[in-house]
Amino acid sequence: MSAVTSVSFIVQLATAVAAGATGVTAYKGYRATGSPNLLRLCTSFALLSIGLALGAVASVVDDPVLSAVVMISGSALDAAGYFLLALSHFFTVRGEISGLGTLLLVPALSVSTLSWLNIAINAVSLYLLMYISAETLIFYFQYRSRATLISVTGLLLITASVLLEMVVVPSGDLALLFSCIKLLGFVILCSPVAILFRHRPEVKAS
Amino acid sequence: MTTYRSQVRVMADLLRAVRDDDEEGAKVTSLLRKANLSYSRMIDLTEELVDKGLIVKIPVERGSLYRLSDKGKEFLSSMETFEEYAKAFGLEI
Repeated sequence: MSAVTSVSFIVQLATAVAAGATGVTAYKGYRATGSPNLLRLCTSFALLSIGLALGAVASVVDDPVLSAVVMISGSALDAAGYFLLALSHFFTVRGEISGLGTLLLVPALSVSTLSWLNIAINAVSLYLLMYISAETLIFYFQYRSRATLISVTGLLLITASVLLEMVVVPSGDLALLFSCIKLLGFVILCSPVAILFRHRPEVKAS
Repeated sequence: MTTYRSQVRVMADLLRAVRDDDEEGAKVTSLLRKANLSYSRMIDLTEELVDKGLIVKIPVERGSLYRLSDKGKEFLSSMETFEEYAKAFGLEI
């Protein structure tokens, strides 16, 4: 295994840990409040964490067939995670799945049922990430919360890394650079946890 | 654009409305106005919150007053913290 591959593996694993940390915090929020949106946020980041970990494992597996299978499984879990996150935004803005808004999610579903190829799954992830970033940005303009703006920055970095991975077809140093951009994005998404340290919540409803 | 209020958020709004008048106790009319709920929905919800021990019902001569219990205060504080956390991701609780 080359040095670049080793570093890339560590960076991808760290990204999975960062996503997992966000998932754990969202789970604590769900336990405390019973909010379905926090449950979706938790499940979404749990799927992303597993997907990113599989992506890391795929980069060090020698067998090309096994590597491709693990990579595609990881990408599918990533896409499922982004889909759940998009769904949370959908429920926040519209309350239930209905009407014209549903059409925004249709392309993601139709592409995923047409093909399981990695590139198609990444395209789904990219589409969903753009949707999530746009909804979060709109939310920022409504509430002007600095924490939301920080999350938008994280989401845009993850979107950029997925886009670059698709367009450039990375290898070696470039792949490492894109992984670092994604890691930075997920670390930034961990930052709202600071809100909990300010308040220290503990009690649950029932 | 209309924003949907989840069950959790409606509960938080009602608890906040009770907290606003916590010193002398919140009246039903005040809760209806501040939490923006129908009468029947509010009665169901207040009963649920009383059962959970989050608010206390105080019978008075004409009707009832509501106050936050200690558990309710802690729960509302927790709710507001995670509300802020969810907002960081562009989400409502």
